[in-house]
Amino acid sequence: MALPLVGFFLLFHYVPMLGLVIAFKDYVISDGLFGSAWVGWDNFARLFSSEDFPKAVRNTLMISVLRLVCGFFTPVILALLLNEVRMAGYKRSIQTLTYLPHFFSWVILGGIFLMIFGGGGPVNSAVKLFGVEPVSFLTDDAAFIAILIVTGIWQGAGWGAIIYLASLSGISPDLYEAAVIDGANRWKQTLHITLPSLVPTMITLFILSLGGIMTAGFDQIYNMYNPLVFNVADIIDTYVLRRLMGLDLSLATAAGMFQGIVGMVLIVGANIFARKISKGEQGVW
Amino acid sequence: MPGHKTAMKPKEKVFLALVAVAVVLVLSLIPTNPKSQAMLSKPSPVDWENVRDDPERKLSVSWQGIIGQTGAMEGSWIEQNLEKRFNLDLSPVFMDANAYQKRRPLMLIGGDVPDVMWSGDPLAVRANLRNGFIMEVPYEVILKHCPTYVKMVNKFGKEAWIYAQYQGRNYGLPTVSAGADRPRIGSWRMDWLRKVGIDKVPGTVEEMHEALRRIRYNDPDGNGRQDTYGWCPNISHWSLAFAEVFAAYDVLPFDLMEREGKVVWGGLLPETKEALRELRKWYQEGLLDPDFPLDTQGRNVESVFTNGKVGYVYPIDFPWYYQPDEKDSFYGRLRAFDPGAELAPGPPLHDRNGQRRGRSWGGGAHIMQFGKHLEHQPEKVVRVLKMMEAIAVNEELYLETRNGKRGLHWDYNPAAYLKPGGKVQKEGINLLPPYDDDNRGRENSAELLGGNNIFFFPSSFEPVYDEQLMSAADREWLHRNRRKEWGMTNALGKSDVVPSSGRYLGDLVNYQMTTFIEMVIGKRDVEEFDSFVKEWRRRGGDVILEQSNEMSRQIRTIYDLVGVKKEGE
Repeated sequence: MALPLVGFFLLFHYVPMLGLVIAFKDYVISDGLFGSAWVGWDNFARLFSSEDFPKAVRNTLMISVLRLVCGFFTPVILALLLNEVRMAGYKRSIQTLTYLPHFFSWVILGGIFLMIFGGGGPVNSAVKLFGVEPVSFLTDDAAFIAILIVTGIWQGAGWGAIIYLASLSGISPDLYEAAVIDGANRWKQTLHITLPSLVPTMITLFILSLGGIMTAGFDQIYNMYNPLVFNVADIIDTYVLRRLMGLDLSLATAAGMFQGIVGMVLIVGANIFARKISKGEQGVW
Repeated sequence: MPGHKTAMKPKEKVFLALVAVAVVLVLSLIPTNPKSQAMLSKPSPVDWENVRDDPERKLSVSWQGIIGQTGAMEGSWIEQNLEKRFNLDLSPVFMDANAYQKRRPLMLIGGDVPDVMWSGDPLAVRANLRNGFIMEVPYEVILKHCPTYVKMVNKFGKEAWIYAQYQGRNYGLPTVSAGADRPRIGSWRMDWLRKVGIDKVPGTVEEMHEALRRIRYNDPDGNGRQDTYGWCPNISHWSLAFAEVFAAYDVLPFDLMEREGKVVWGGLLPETKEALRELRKWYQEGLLDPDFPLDTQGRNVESVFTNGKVGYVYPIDFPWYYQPDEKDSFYGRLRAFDPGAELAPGPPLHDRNGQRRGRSWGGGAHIMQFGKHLEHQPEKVVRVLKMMEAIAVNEELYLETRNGKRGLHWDYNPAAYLKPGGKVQKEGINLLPPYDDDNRGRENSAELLGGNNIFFFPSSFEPVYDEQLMSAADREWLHRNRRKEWGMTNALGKSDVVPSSGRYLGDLVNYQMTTFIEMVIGKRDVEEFDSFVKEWRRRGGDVILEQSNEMSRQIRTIYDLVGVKKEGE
């Protein structure tokens, strides 16, 4: 039964990994994977001695960590709040509204946010009403990153909450009944039953999202950035895309490989750490 | 389950660590080859002397070109005409500018290299060459089969020879665009200018400044609110960014320029700093649309103008944009918003010597290349070269390849007139029914034009075009607003002919663009210009400049090979 699955992973995930040798070659497409000359670590040396790649790594890390710190608990909170709503219709419509943005492409969302936060947009019109000078949200480094993070959270929170809602529905009602008998109010129930029950899911999701820390959300950034925030918003993925379009496959592969390896180290490391502090109780594997 | 999974045994750990160390060691021991330049300097393996092209034999040729409009289809009249005349079976691969940039690399990486392919710039030629997609076509071969075509290139855009070469060898057929050696220009809201007391289009930096100032502060749209800006600068491409103002200071900031016999980078010159100071002042005075840095794709540059938010826009530079009665023309769009609007072309500003100056691309255009696999079928190359020569020699065929058949698809009107039904028949070239039908226009134009017109023969030769297709009014318009002698071009045609441009130029241009915009909006002080210059040179700019000077000395050798006349000859 598992054969098609194994086949799928072999064919689409393991075989393509052979392509990573391109990172160690001066890859000439017509010479092929085997015909191209080996160059050892040259491509990596070029990457790290370049002006843009180290900056892209720094930006990627900064944006990802901010996303994680600011955004990780939002779906949890949203799920808890939704869980407390008793009117089914109201709950369902809120849930739909919050996860709807997940289905919009950043091509559209990017355009909308550029308009909203632009010099003549509603936000700045509101700012002007208070007699304050318009703020250049989208060209200021810090403001741009803040907008990136907040809109990212807005887009993903509803979708992220679904998995927590699923875990919440798995908590045995017995626990709550027992707590009520013991005199625990709503708040105490949340604190001592709901939250602890969510911890395994949270840890799993946290470990998985660490794996993505080297990808800081290409779609969103590509559709929203401009030359003035290049310094803080050029990430590894945008860098790789530029190299690919220039047919510089070796450099692009080296950058991608670096990204993948760091991601793997983070996942494995986080899992080991999670197992250590929970004495083997938690972790993805 | 958690907890009782077996932890890695110490032996396994040691084994894994050893494998890791071994992999790293092996990789670092691999000898570092000097980049495979050897491949590049290998001479063509084709014995061109003995290539026989039998015209009786039908050849199939796949052809990637560029199209101006989407909707081009295989089997157009133009395609069939060429197939019939030259006994070919053409399979077109249509790409618009976006597909060229994004889809083509994937197509090539996938090993799908067409027989003939259009490349936009020297950088693409070198990437294709490096990856073994294209073949050498020696100068002798081109001279032998395309003598007239070569003369046209030499006359209208000799720089294109440099785009097609690498290390003295030629890798394709250069194309020229005779119309592109005119400076690009912008447009003014003439009715606004009049309303604020200016009765002619600004001709100097000072006049432009004053016009922008009054448009901003004197309420040209008369709605009682201060909601108009002078100008929304176009930053969607480096060749457009503030280009009209820089030109008035005699600099092309993103190009190589010749100064005192040496090739220099325009962006590092003191005049550039002066222009930046002026632009900074304009921004500080609130004359520029503050959202201009956000519009990296240039999506709104035109609409903020046609929607009555700004009074000047760049570039709007073809006569047909200025047709007030065509609803799809730029003027027509402006009129749709404000029926009283008046659009006026703004010829290049005068520099300090009183000479009008504007950036132009020059006549050298692009490169048509031949897939490496044609080394085994060189007769295809010969057939295509013969076809290009035939089109260059035969005016009628040239016009057919560009526009379809005269009398069937189009005709030339000596004067404009009103057709029954109220449609204006323009002076100059007009599509004939049913090709002019708006409702079936898309279908028909896809069949006929749809970009096919520049697809199979991307070179334009001016005398033919000027004399037979353009109306007298359009010719006069170009002479009045975009005179060739006002144009300033890159010293080497395009900067990316320099060998190391692939490595440095893209990042340098990004860096410069960011820095200049930052200086204009005040995020960085213009007085930091000198440190920008230093940084630009350090990030690879010095290498580019050194190689540029080297190249400018080598160019003459290539020009001699293809018979470009020396000045004064």
